[in-house]
Amino acid sequence: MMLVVFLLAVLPFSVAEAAEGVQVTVPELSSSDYPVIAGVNSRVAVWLAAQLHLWFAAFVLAVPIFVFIIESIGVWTRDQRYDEMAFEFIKVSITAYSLTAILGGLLAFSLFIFYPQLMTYLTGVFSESMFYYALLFFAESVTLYVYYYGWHWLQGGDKKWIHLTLGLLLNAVGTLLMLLANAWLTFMMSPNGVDTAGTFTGDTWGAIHNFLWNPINLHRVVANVAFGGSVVGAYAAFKFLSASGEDERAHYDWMGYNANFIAITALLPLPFAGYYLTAEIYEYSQQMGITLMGGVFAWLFIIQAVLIGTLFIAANYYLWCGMGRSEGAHRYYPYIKYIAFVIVASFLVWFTPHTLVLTNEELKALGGPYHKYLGSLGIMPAKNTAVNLMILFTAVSFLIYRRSNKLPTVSWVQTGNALQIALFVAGIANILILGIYYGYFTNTVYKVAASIPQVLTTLVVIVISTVIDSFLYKGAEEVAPLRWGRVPDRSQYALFLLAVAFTWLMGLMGYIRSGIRQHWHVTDVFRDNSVDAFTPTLGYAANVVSIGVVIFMAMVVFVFWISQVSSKKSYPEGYWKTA
Amino acid sequence: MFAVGLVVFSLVFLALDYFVMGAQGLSLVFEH
Repeated sequence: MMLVVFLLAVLPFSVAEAAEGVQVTVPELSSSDYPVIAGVNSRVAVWLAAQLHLWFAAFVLAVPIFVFIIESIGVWTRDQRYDEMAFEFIKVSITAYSLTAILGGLLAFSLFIFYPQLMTYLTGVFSESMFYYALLFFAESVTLYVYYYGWHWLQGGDKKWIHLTLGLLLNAVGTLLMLLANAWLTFMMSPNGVDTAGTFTGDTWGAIHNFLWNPINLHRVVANVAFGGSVVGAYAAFKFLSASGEDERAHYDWMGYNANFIAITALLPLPFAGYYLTAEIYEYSQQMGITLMGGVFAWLFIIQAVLIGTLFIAANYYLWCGMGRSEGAHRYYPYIKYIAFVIVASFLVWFTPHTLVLTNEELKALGGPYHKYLGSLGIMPAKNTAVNLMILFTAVSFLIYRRSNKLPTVSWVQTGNALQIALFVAGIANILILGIYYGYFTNTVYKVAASIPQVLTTLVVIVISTVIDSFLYKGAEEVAPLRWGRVPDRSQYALFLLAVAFTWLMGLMGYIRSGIRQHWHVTDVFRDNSVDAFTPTLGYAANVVSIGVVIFMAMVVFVFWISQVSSKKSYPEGYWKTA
Repeated sequence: MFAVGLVVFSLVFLALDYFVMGAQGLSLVFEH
């Protein structure tokens, strides 16, 4: 704890003092300057090591965030189930924590072996922050271990407050670690604190606080929580499917529901954090923005759209299956098909490509590069409208899920319901007008501008409807106690699908983020002259990412298995001598 | 109550559009 306080107090001053008289220049490299190990492709080795490290790092940074929140809910409500669930989540992350460190070591070695000059330059620019990063790891490990191993010791009264403080500190250190690492990678995308030739003269804060640092920081924090939630959801599904008794099934069903709730709550604002990041990339460099969205990488966004659509469908499907836990859910079953229709229709709009890859014959048959009707669904206003509708209808799924086991007791039930419907109708009408009218019948400036009130409309509808619902169902009666565990096995596969889709998405989008530097190690200042200084084909990139996903999932299964093994005991008869 | 709600919320969203896109953005709707 003292180490963190010390670092936070000293770091800004030491950065300023150490800046005097430093000069780090960019070397001119040729392909012979890059070491080669026979049979190893340098780019793929670093790519996979970085990606695997990032997946695990995202997981172990995200888990303490929601563990802290769940533990706080437990303290607030004094419901011990929350405390037990929080402990079980952090238990999964402990094995993942060592794997993160091992993969971090592998990444660092790979970088220094295959790209020594680049790393000499980067360590020259970021020497202080890299040193403090290493020190912060001690603080992270100490707080994590005390937080985890002291969980049952630090219970009740002041001890619980000490434990919560440790949780908060663990998150502060973890976030600080991520912010430092983010600075290094965003410096490579949007270098700052150096002159046009890349010469660094000591402006460390400038290099850290580069143009894309905060947009990436925001996007990663939100995405990590969604990803972490989905992985622990997969853990709960794994335990649910392998559970032997009803109690165990009920426990892991409840855990899976909470994990899914965390993942989806973080997923809802994620497209907007993504839009903000993309807008900032365009703001930094239009060329980079066009490479990202309109150039070679654009087709990966179609895959992204398919995967995100899959996430929404799977999350909604899981909620609909979960309604089976309630005796009162049958009242809402008829509405599910309409929600499903809107979500699937929005999904189809969302992944309709604008420009198709066509043969000459196909082009002739189509009468041009764009389809007569579907072509207009390929541009952003259609996609913005679709994603907002998808989010709104996911919120409706949540709404009916919450309502399914409740009977309102307030006198203004009908008024409240009428207001809810009016709110959704007005909101959807506004989203459609903004998307269709401004998207297709006005100046291009308004196409982009209209996306902001669209997002705000979605958020306003979700917030107001949640508020109305909470008053409407205040003091509501339960239809019957919820039957946790009464869900079909196939709902658990939706949780697995969520985890795999999130992992794949992160891998593909991470590749794009890194790939838009193209033939530059550090955009516009440090040229990549290795044999791999080209953008690979999309199929090749997707294959590398997919191999990464398979390796990651295998490691995750190992983590789940090992956490199960630790609670098993064998009593071999006659093995030990008796006293 | 549904009609009242519809009018109130439509005004809320209209105000939101106006606040974000400004008078020029909204006047486009009436120009066409």
